Amino acid sequence: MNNPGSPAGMTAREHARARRPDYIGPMTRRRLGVGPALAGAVLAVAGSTPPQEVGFRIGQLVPDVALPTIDGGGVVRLSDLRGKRVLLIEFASW
Amino acid sequence: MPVWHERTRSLREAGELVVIGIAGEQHADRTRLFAQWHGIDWPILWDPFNLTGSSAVPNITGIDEHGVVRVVRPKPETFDEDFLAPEFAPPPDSDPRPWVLSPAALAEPAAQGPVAALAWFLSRGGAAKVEPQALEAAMERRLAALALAAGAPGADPAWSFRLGVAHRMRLDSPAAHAGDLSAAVAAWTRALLASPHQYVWRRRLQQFGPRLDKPYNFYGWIERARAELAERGEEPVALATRLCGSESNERGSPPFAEGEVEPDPKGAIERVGGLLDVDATVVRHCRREEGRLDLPTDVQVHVTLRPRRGVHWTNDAGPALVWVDPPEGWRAERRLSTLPAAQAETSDEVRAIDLELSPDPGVLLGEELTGYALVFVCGPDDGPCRLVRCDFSARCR
Repeated sequence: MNNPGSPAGMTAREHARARRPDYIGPMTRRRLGVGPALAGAVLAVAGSTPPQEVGFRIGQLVPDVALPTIDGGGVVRLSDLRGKRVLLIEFASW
Repeated sequence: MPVWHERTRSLREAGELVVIGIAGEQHADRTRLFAQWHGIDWPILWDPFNLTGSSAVPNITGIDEHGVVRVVRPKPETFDEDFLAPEFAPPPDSDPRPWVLSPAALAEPAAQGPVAALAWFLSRGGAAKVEPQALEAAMERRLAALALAAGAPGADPAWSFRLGVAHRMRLDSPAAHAGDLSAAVAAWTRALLASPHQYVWRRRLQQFGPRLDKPYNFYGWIERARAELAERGEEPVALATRLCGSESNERGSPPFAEGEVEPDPKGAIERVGGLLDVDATVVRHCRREEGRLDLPTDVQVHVTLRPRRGVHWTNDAGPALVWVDPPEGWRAERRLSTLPAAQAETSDEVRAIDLELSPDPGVLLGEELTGYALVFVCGPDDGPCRLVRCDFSARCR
């Protein structure tokens, strides 16, 4: 597993490396009011190639996403969860 | 992550909170084993292509009932007061948010284009029971669409990352090409060089790289999980893809045999072309790729063998052997490897080994690694069964 004590699961060495001028760290992101997933420039509308920046930013509607479950049992769409308080946990077993 | 599982247990049971996981991992079954081990019963979504765009994990995000992000990386001890207790007003503007990957795309995996290709792979199109040739053609078409997106002028490097993920998926499928790991590593390297702070991408490359490039043992938890599940009387989730030595961080682990006696020193075994595809992939330290020359120069070498159509292994004839000749000034952790074989009398699966090479002190530039595999195969079709030699090479620097 990644290091739970460091920001975003990075090791101390990686954290030190991340302290470069062009790196937007968690504290800065918090001050700016943006989420840790800011870096993602991913797909927007099916069929379009140019990326559209999306991310989880405080105060903004969560970008919608539909992904399959790990057991192949179906697809979950985040916007289907409206009306409920949701904790979204992005992780990896490593 | 297990911390949040415990922290939210009563909230989930009381219906006050919905917890959803998103696993940014290549192999979904490894996440399933991890979830089983920790007793996680909330839904986990599979995002091998990093569609959320997160550059590191874990990420914890609290979303209110209006779909608005209210907290990022909350503290467990103040979670109630920070996220659950406050009343949040609906946003003034409820325009639909951009789609990351829409249900429509997932529902139409037969469509063309890179987005449809991602949807096809995500919907496990490769796992569908179709004829091998049809599966191969379907995968080739989707990989071509992703390669086009990755190679477009000014393309987002995320497309290169996704292309690499798709190649790795094909390697794990019945339509595997021996060169898929090489293609994946090349695509991941391009993506990482364009976006060096993307740690989710970096981890994918490190997964198959030299041991010293791993900040910790990525999959060291698996054996512990299996043992604990067995103690609990549970059958651990089976992993479809065997962990390679690089992933398990183990040296010379069984079933590989170590040895230094070359099996065909005079080259007497017949070389027959057209029976087998052989690929040797060299994975370097990520920071070396980025130009840091003061870091370790070890490389991980993956050798992949795949019988061509109509050719199969004859497992009862004997094991396949791989011999490696490292370049001058380099040491291999072992030179002779025995490849694990299937239980069946004949089979045509991909076989792979990986081993680490280290340069002697003072050796800055490696040259060409050479080697060969000795395998018992039959075919094509009704062709003869024989022991053949397949040579390969790769550059270490």
